[in-house]
Amino acid sequence: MTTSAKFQLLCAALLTLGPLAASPMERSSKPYVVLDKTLSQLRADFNANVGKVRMLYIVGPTCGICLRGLSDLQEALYSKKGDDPRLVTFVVHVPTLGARENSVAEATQLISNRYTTNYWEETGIVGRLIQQSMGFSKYTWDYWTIYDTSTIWSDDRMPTPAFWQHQLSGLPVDHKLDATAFAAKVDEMLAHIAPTAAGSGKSTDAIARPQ
Amino acid sequence: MSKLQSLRRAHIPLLTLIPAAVALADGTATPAAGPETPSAAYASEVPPDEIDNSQDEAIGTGQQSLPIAQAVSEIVDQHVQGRGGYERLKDIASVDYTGTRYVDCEHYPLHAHMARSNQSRTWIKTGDASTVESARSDDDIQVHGAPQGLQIEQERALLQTFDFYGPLIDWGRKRYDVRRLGMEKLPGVLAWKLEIDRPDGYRQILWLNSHYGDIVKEIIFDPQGSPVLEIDRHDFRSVEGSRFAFAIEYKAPNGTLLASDRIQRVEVKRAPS
Repeated sequence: MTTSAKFQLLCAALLTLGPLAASPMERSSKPYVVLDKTLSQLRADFNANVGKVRMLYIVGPTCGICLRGLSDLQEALYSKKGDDPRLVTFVVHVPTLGARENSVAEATQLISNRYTTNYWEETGIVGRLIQQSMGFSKYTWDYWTIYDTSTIWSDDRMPTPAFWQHQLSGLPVDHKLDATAFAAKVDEMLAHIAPTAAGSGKSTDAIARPQ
Repeated sequence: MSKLQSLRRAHIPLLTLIPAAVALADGTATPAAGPETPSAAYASEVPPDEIDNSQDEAIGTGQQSLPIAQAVSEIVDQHVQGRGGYERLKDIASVDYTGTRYVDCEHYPLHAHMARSNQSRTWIKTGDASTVESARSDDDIQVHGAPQGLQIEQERALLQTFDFYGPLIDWGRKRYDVRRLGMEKLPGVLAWKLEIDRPDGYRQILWLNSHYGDIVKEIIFDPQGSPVLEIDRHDFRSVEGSRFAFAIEYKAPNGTLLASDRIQRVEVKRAPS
């Protein structure tokens, strides 16, 4: 067999393997983390950032009102704070309104912040766990929280946030998401943490989770 | 470049896939769950009333649009509520606008009278004795003089697509076809994006403020499918319980600003329909 023929054979073999190889490549390029039902990765990330002001949002990636919430917080909070490493955000996308994983990537674009991690949680159990821990009467999503710097997620029960808002019917109206009030609360909590040089966005350390 | 060289060059990127392909083949890597792959676990904890939706799938078009699950009716409801509610809106018999049209460095006094059912008359005073007048009655469109800043066909498109109560009110009765195109980020707000096909062949794409339902941006397409005019609306204020834009900009399809209207006064007259 000539060199040219061997090379062509190799190329043909690689073309056959191409589709198989695409999946892991694709996975590594996803702008979000896929959670399992135990939420272990979320819990680990949450606890790895004790000492920081942590926000946890539960949203549906095709829920326009949720997307508006993300966009509003981008305007009111993230665009003003920049990449402040004292501020860590976890956005959990759940399959409400029939959402599928293929809508998550686009929704992750609404918040531009280096210390924000997006997750896809396919079962939606996180909404059930929040409902239980908060004692709400309904499945909980479109839910926006801020946690104290010292809060630890130590067992299966979701920790109670220091501040929460929502955009659901049937929950207290005085807790409706107001991006300006939310950002003010973040400011108030940030005031208790010493600023770091990284607050200027120049730091390369203290990412929310190992990427 | 020889045929062999170009073949080699074309397949060099494939070489980078070998380790991943091998890992997959020998079981050291697991394939990613495909975005469309259903599983038994999917949404198992989400109650049915938080899953069901009036439309089968989320729709998003264009690279900038985010797919959404909200139904057209939900978006239109928000728009109607923002304008004071359906009954209150339909009580409006006429609206008079007084303001100024700005074109380049010039500005002209502007007055517009709009009334139901679908009448619109706009006067722009361009000199001591000259006035541009454009009017739409139920069955006629007339333009006298050159509309300041806009081409005649753009003014005609504006009049042709004029709806006294707005395009989204009674859209089914008007035999409009309204489709959702997702959400799109505009400066300062994430907007609902809708497309309207009209029986007259004109088409409109609307962007609605997702907080208030205001139509903040609109593009009109002629029956041949070409974009004719973009209208941007800002500075919404409440007058008699309905929201009106007090700043309107007209742009050519290439984005060039043609004219701006600044409204000083809006007078609403009501009469039960």
